Amino acid sequence: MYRVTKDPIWVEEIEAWVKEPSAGAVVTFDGIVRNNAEGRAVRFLEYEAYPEMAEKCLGEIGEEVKRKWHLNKVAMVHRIGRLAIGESSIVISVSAPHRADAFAACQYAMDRVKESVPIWKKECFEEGAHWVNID
Amino acid sequence: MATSMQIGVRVFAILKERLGREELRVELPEGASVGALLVKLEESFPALGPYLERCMVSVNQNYEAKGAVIREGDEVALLPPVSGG
Repeated sequence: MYRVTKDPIWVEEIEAWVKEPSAGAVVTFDGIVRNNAEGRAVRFLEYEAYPEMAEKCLGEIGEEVKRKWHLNKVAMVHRIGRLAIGESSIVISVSAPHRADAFAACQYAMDRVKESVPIWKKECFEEGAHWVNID
Repeated sequence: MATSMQIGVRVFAILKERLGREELRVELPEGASVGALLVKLEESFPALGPYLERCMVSVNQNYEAKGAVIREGDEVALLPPVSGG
């Protein structure tokens, strides 16, 4: 499951999807909108994507981690649009026969998302806003 | 004689905001490189200036280096540094 969505992400649904009888471990990363950045109070975040390419990149990362580790299923869902403090911006859930593979694959997949998936974050403060990494 | 092609370049995030549009149109020689596209964009859209050096180009949804060739009908985009997650 590789998806970019404007809708809220339901972690339980994603974990249910990755669970399989032969998988003894599910590791989930739930990325949450935090109320501060670089010492400033954040009101909300806005995410924008190149959605077709972002979903393709998520799928490529998913296939890459399946080659590197012994896994059952991989789900990667990124939300876009305006997100409030405490909401999930990204959920990555990995099932595997054993926990070591699930932990490693989940962390690696998240690091790859940060490097290469065409999605952009705008931090909106009490006064002003900026696009992360460039503005 | 070399023919030219019209390329639409999708832009996102800060580029979309600064330029006030989602797609830039440029004319390039048929089979021009990604590097040639970047030069043309810099000439045609001065507002891109501060950002262009840090942007990547995708062709048909794959990141491409400056030597890659663009064909008429390709899906081209100019991507600022990503910050998802």
